[in-house]
Amino acid sequence: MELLGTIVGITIKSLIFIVGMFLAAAYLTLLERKFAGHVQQRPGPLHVGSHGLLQPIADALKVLTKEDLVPDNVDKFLFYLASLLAFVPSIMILAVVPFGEPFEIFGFKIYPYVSDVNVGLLLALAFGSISLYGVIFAGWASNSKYPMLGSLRKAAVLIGYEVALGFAIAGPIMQAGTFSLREIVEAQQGLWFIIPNILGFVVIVFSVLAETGRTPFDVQEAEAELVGGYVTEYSAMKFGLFPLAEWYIATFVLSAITVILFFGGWNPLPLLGWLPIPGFIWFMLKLFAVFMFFLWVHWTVPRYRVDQITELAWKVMLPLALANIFIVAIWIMIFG
Amino acid sequence: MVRVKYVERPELSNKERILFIDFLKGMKVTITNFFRKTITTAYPFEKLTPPKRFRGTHALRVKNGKEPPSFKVLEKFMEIKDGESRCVACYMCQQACPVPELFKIEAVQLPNGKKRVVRFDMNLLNCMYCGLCTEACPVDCIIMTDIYETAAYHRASCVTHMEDMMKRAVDYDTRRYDEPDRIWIDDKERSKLWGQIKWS
Amino acid sequence: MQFSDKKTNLWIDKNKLEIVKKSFPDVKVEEYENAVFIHVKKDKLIDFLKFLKEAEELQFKMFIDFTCVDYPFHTPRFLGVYFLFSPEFKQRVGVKCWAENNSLPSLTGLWKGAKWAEREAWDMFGVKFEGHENLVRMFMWESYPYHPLRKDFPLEGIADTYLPSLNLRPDEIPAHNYSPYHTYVPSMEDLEETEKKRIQKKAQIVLNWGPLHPGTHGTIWFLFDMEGEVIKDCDIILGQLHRGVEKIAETRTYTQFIPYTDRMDYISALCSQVAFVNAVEKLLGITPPPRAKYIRTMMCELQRINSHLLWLGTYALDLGALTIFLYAFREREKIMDIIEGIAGIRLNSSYIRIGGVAQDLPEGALDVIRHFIKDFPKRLEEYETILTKNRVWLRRNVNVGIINEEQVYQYGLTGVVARSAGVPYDIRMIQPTDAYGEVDFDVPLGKVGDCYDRYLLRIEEMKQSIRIVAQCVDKIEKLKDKKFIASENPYVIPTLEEVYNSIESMVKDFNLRIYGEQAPEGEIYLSGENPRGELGFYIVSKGEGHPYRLRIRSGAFYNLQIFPELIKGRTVADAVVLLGSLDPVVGETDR
Repeated sequence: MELLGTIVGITIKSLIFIVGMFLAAAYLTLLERKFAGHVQQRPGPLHVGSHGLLQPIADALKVLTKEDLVPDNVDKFLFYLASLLAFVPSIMILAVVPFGEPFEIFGFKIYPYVSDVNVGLLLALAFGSISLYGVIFAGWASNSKYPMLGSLRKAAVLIGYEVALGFAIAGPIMQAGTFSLREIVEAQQGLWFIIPNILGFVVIVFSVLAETGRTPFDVQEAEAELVGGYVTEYSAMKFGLFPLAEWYIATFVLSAITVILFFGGWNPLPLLGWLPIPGFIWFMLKLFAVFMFFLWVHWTVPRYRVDQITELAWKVMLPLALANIFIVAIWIMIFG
Repeated sequence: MVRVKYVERPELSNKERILFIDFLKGMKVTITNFFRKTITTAYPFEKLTPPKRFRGTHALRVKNGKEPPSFKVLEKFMEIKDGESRCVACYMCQQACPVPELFKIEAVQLPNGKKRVVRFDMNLLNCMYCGLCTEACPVDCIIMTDIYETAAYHRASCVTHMEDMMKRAVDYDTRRYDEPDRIWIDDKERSKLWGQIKWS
Repeated sequence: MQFSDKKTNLWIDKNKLEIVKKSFPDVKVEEYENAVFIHVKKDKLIDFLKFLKEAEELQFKMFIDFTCVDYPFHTPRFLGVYFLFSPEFKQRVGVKCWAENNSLPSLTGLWKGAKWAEREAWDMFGVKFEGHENLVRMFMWESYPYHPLRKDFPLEGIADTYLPSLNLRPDEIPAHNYSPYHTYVPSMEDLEETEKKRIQKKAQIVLNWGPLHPGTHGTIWFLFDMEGEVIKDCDIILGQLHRGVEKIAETRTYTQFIPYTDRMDYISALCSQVAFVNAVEKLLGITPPPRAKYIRTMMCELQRINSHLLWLGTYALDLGALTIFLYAFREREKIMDIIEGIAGIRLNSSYIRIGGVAQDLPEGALDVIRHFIKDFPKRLEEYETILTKNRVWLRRNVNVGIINEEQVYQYGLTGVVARSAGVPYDIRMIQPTDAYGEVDFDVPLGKVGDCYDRYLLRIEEMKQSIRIVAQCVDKIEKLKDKKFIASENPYVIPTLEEVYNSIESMVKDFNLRIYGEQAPEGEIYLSGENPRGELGFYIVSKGEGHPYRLRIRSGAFYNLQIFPELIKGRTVADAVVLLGSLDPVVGETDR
């Protein structure tokens, strides 16, 4: 009986999370378009709904009802599988990210996360690596030259930055002593982990930009060179899933992980602890700040060439991450 | 006097490399622009007024007492009543045009010896909108108005005839004949992009 | 370095002609008022050109142009015309040679830039070249049976394919000049055959970059022979935008041709018009009034800023800096508003006329231009802050596509591409027309010759253009003479005010429009500084109202020729950077 209750409870919570994530991703597209528009001194979407608030719904309807062209000589199984494989792992990371402390409503204790696994960070990293297969399958199955070039480039970039990411998160893990994300946040109630881990923070910013495909590392969207890269042959919703997964959902969850690792999660800002704002709201505010920072970098900086990106990953990011581990070890020895 | 000089190639110093100052300065420019007002015009709800010299669709002016002195010399050979187009069938517009095939002008000789224009068609799909025809007309008949929204569904509706052109000219003259030859009308939409200009 | 001598006649002088005659006694010299040509026989052609290139006192090292003229009543029929330039002594020479048996020896051994010029002559005239490495057609597809620029080919083409219109109701004719027959449209097999003849597959894959692609600036078709991501060989198929402008010119008068000149290089339309009108005015012997000269210079420099801003926007967009595109277009909107208020239309403004400009400046124009001059340098600084010292920009641009001085002379590179290699070749400086001799400005030069130099040079040129515009605005305000077109000259069309008020002007207007400007017999070659390079016009006139042959020497065409040479051994990503920095506009490469 209890097992049934737990299963039903977790299913309902997962559904709430997934549907909430979709809506959030849709409105994040509107946020990005408005931000990009105002940076370029133009208004962005304006007419659909007042100030464009119904634009994501119009976009979703458009993408769902477009004609879905599948060329004849593609490998059909891999073609369909690739768009799913690029999208599902990003949502799966959401299963291990906590959003706040447990709180009470009407006597029920509500945990604002789907599960609290004690190797949560490792699982998040593992799920992120599965999306690499989606990229390669998309390029291979399209049976054409431009997608093949695009997917090979992106795969090379992703492999390099996964390694750098793995070494950079070793710093906060050492300081907190655990892999579980909730306990890492609780260990930051005194001092946020950004101060000793400044090099690790730089490496993580670049790795997140590379993983999610934003400039300066968006060799995928290099429209001038490769038309569309590995998404050239996709159309309608299969196409829509690729940028939704990469640019919005993956950026959102990776920003959440960044905030948890470096900026204290749902702990309030150092001197403003007396404000009656729940931890959940602090977390969301910090998350949006980090998300806007990534958008800001995307719309300003030009992009690197592929061999320069991989050179940067292996020759600069990896040594910086290793140096970070060294510094954190010394810090722990001094400050206990 | 012309001088030749070599450009200098700036280098990044080490301090700028480590602290990412080149990225941060660029990002500061972007965020400054975020807080400025938008400069776009929401067409079709807001429209800019075209300047006086704008080269839009063509029109034929009618005989209404405001003709130039050269009209009196040429009107002796023509039969034109008040309210009809001033065209004297001299074919100068067709001679001046870089694509002469788009004009189709026909005039007949009446029994009293005078001429009358019966057909004046222009195939606007071939037109370059260069304005050489307006500079060639000796009686200020063919002009270019400020109408630029002339999209149509069939090729046949892009050929404009004498009656439409006369109506267009009467409409244009009632709106804009007395306007001075200024560079543009300073309206609200233009000042969004330009700011406030000091006119002398 | 200072250049204060304003030479207006650049042709070879008498001393050098003596030196030429001493070594080659049986050449004939043809001297016109505006050009000097040397006739040579076909068997001595290569030796003669080699002598001109390498002799100590002559040094005509730089290849400017090669073309053919068709004289159907003369045997042999075709005349090959070569133009060379000596950077040491700043002189030009023309060499003519009759093509016996419809063939000429190929010049690619001496100047590599002749490769494409000879392909074009084969395509348009049917003249073969012995020793050319791959003589294929330049603009048409391989199996096209005709040679279009010959005098016996009709202007409308041979209309033999039935292509009825799509929105036609049965037996209805949409317009009086409509015909359901059309010229032949090439099929996929024709295009594949053209592609196979250009490049052989020797490495891993052959990638088609173009003709419809968001990265190539217009419809240019590149063929890359690639190994992984490295390009081993490259060739370019042009002609997707070929409109036959040179053939049209043979049936239009000089004033009727002016709207066609601004549709070639549609981004810097006013500069092309000014170059053409300068050439015609020199042929007819007309001097425009001073107010017209200053207005022309000012509009030319505004158009130069416009063109460089478009280049900056699309270059940054190709490289990923997405906001610079919109900032550059914000400034372009202002310039286009200025041009619209003065000329009437934003893009293809046909504002320049033979003898001056079409209309005077309206009221308020100078206030608006002054407002623009005050505002623009701040914006330019904003773009430089984002891009110039950015480490990503530096890594993408430095040491990519290095051009040295020898390549400038071999390929005939002009404009910013030549100046980045250190060669001080700027027509505004060497042969100033209009008011360029009376304003002060600097011409920037580069030291290394890579894409970063070309970027810095174009930004610097924008700053210098603002300086010129400011000086012109001051001078126009102080001028007392309000005449803007030299209408008392017998070749110049009178203004509308004069036509309305005097019968002689009306008769002169009628004559000039019907019979054209009856230019005296002669030939001329004159060029102007387009933002893309040197735009030259070679006009052959036989005393009629329209030219006998009009050859347009386009800077973008010769600048693009160095692309296959520089891209070997680099990746596709560098192809984007290199193409952007050479800045071709397809309207001008294809004409």
